[in-house]
Amino acid sequence: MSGRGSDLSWKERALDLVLYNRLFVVGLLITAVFLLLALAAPILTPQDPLEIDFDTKLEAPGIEHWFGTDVLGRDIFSRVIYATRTSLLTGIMVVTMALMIGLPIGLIAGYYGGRIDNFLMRIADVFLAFPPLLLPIAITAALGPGLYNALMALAISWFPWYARILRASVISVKEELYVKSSQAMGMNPLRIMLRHALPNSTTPVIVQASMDFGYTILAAASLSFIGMGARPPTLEWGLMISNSRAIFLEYWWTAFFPGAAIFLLVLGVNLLGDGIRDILDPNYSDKR
Amino acid sequence: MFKTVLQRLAMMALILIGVMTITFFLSRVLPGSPVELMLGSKPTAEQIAQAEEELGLNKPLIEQYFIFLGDAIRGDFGTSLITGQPVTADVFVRATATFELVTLALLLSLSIGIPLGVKAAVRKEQWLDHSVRIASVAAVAVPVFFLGLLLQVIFAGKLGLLPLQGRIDSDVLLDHFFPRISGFYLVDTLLAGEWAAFASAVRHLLLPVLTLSLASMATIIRVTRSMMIEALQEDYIRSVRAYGVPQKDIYYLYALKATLIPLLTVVGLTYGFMLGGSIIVEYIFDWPGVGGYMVEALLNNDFTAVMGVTFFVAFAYLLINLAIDLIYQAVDPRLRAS
Amino acid sequence: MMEPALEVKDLEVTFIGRRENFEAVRSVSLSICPGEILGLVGESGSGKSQLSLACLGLTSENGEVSGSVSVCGQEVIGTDKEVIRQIRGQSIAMIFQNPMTALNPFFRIGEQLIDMLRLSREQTREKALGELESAFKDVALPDPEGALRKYPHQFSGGQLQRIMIALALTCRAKVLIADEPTTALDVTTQAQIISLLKRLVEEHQIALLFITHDMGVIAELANRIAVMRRGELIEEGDRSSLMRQPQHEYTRLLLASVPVLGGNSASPPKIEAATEDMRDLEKPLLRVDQLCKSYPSRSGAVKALDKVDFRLMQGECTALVGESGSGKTTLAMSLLHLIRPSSGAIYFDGVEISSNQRKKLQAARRNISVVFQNPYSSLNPRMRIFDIVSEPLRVLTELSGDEIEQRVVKAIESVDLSRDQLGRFPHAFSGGQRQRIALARAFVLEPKLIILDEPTAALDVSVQAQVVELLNELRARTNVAYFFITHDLALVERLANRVLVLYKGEIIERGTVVDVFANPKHAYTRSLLESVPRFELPNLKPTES
Repeated sequence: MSGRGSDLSWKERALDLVLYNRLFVVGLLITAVFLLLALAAPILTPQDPLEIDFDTKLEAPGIEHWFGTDVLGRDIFSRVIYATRTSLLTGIMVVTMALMIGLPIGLIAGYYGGRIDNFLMRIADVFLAFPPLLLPIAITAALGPGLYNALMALAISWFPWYARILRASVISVKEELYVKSSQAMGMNPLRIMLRHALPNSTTPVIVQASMDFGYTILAAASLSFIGMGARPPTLEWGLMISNSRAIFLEYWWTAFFPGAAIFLLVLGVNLLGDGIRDILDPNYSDKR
Repeated sequence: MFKTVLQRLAMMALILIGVMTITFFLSRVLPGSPVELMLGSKPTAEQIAQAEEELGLNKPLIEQYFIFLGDAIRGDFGTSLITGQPVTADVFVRATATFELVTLALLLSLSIGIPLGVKAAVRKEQWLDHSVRIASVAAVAVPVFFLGLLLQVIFAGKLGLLPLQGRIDSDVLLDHFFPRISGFYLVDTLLAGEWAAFASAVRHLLLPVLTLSLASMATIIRVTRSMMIEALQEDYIRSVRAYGVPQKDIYYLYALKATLIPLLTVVGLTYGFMLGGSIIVEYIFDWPGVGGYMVEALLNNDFTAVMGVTFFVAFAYLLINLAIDLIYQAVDPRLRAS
Repeated sequence: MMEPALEVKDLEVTFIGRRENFEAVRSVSLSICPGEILGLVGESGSGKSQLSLACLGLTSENGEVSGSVSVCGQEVIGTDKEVIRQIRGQSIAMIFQNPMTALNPFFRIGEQLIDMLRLSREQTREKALGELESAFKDVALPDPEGALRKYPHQFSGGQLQRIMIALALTCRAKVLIADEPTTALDVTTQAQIISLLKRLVEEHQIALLFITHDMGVIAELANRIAVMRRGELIEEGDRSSLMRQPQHEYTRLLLASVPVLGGNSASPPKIEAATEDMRDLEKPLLRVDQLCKSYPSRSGAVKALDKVDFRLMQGECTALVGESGSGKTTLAMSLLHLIRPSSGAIYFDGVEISSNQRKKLQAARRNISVVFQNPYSSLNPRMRIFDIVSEPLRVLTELSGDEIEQRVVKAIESVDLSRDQLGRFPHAFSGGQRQRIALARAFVLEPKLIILDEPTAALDVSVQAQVVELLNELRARTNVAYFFITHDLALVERLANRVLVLYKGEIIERGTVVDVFANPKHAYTRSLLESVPRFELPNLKPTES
């Protein structure tokens, strides 16, 4: 009777998750706190994050500056909180853009099959032939460094995954008999795709996208760290760590707090993603 | 079997051409022309024309493309602006350093990840499983560069136990020379019998290998665990159970065998993930490999080198996936027959 | 009286859930003697599989078991795990439903089976090998020596099931539990496996617990029959008395829905002028001419359809009978224009529709509907019933919104569902209800021909009968023609006027149902007819009505 979980509706599973899965609740809380920080940054921060004050440079964490100050005397606490906005935006934008490119390709490849499928999937294969992070770096190098270029580059390197997942799912939905009966009626292929194939095959893509959110935040921070992503005065955690690279052995707080912030946000988002998968994919949670 | 190998090779050739095409487009078509980067801020029109002539940029795009393809097939990716050497030569000199780092990190991930994943599946929902799960969720969330810096602060800075960066101590190297036979320092120092050099190489490897492998280790734990649990639910495991095979044999003989084979595909993905991660790790630890070279090139606007590295790393990744694919074919009897 | 080999007393299996507990088995008692076959019947979810798992001590961890199960005198419930483990594979063995997944695809048959014997019974390799080979001979597996070196995918389902039975024999288990062992197999293979089991039970004096949802199979095989529903054992008795005089209403229902040749439960509407001469004079509704379809493969082309030729008249039902792989799906897909035939032609109402002319095709499509086998897959789970039923009208006709609504309501009421169910989604309906919705969608266009692709195969037996009745009623009322695809001959008798038998892509026999069934000419048709259970039906009129 291990399959009984799948009899529940997704609402009941969501309730189960909140009631019984502490990690999911932790993820939910962490993410909510970061969202709040991002929205309320101007109220919460004691100091302008860009305000330079050489008198207070490189002060250790204390009552005045909770997270200390950086080389230019800027308040690290304020900077870390403002940078939340950048990272949340990164995750949302990269995943959305990658979905926008990947979904139509996957839908068409999966539905039509044959040569079209072959052609589109070989293109996807070419993109996937680059190890992760390598292609985004190369694309950003070509476009010129900058946050938006980095996000675009990440989306371009990431879309084939969504195309592939949707394609696989469309191929199985295509065998469903309601699609066959629509085809037998001579219904317009576009209509079959949008009405029957797409709505019934998005679940695995949504699951994957929710799990990728954290990864994209990490990847964007990595790009900023090697100078390919956000540039000053944009506030970004990876960039802050990069700037303190030369001095962190002595002034550890300049790198520690931004790093801890990335870690916490990604942790929260990943726990949330796991939960979303459990809600949408009951077969998976049954295995646990 | 022979036929599938040929098919895979043909497919790989096709994808390689695709990879070259992307590399070409990135280097020629997109803004940020290499000429500007090469000549600095304010070149004269004359200088630009001359440079374009040199690089063949005044020819039609399609012609440039075929010239590029021809050069690429011959292994010519131009000359690096910083080192003044052909990019191909630069990459080959540094490749073994990267290869040593990534291979060791992979071995570490697998040798810790698989047993922990199996244990977690066997003790499903017990404290070991829960703590492994929490640890692996946390490990995936740590940014590679942050982990690297943290380890440096602790082990090199505060404790002073391990070297901050580099591949081997230069003064050790002076006293204990060893010939580069395999390019793997661990192997070469042993072959030469230079224990001091070997110890130095090990000490230098510890932090970067640990940094690179942590996230992958977590992934391998999770995948192994869920594959193992999946295997335990298979019908054939139920048959084995119904015939009274002892529980430990069911776990470590039947389910583990069934888990290891599909785990092969994960090894391929992990390798790619680590090749990507090595760019950051080598930069942090000043490791003389391909990744560090790429970041140097990026920071110095050395475009030719960036694109050359991109191609070669993708090529290496393709080769590894091909190998794994072929091993998989050989192991699965259903594929072998067709 | 012999000592029973398996004795179950007051067995209860309860699953502890977060929301509520689920009692899968409630206070069940039964026993089986050596050489005896007990047939345990029940529909899905009746608890019969949980009962069998409890007998082996294999109930999953979230289940609580109480009561007693004794196998050859040894108690299973509450006994030390190590002791139960030794009982399994020595005193009791089990055969599962799907033989295709019962063995690990990565390893040779010999490796796996010998490992199992070695680990469970501490046998030497040589001894296990010898015993397996002789067991393979016993179950009539072709090439018993070579079989050990092959991989599972190199065998057919029937052969794999023989291998699993052979494994049980090798263990010399005195009790054998077979959980739907023939359900995944073709009818003819099914008959072979059943006679094999019968012989082995006799020869080796095994106590066999045979679990199935198919009353027909049980009637062939069992000495005694037990019926389970919702975890309870509602009736038990020896075969002949239980079948002649079922005590429980539910048993009666199960028996009534068994497809039996010559049963009187339903019969198709008669059509006039069924003689061959008249057929040639009249214009057929559907004419299929020399239809061929071949697929390329490594060893040349595989012929899925070979010169298929037939006619279907207005208002009649022609059944197409064949096993899986005979080409019947290919034929259905060609009629629906989902597969393009290699050669030959299809005429509908005198117009050729196999050619690719859109206009002609569109007209034909308005008059041909389809009902598929699986009602769980034939309705889009994200659409409301109204949208599902009205879709053909919106795609193929130019009716106004009001007219569409009228037609949909009429269609849904004609399948005995009510109009206020139109706003719901498919998951709110049972399998039988879903199939009614699929029928409503097929009828909403008021077509001349409906293709029925195994429309009852995925339904529980008790629901099957209702759908058959509904189909007959609708045909009598609307004079629609059915092209009915099935592997079940008993259904043919209840639904169809004429029958075509398809074997390896060729029609090998045709004629009226009465003629073909009374007087089959082809050996294959005869073997098909023999595989249908025949038994005396009890007086099935319910007592109270």
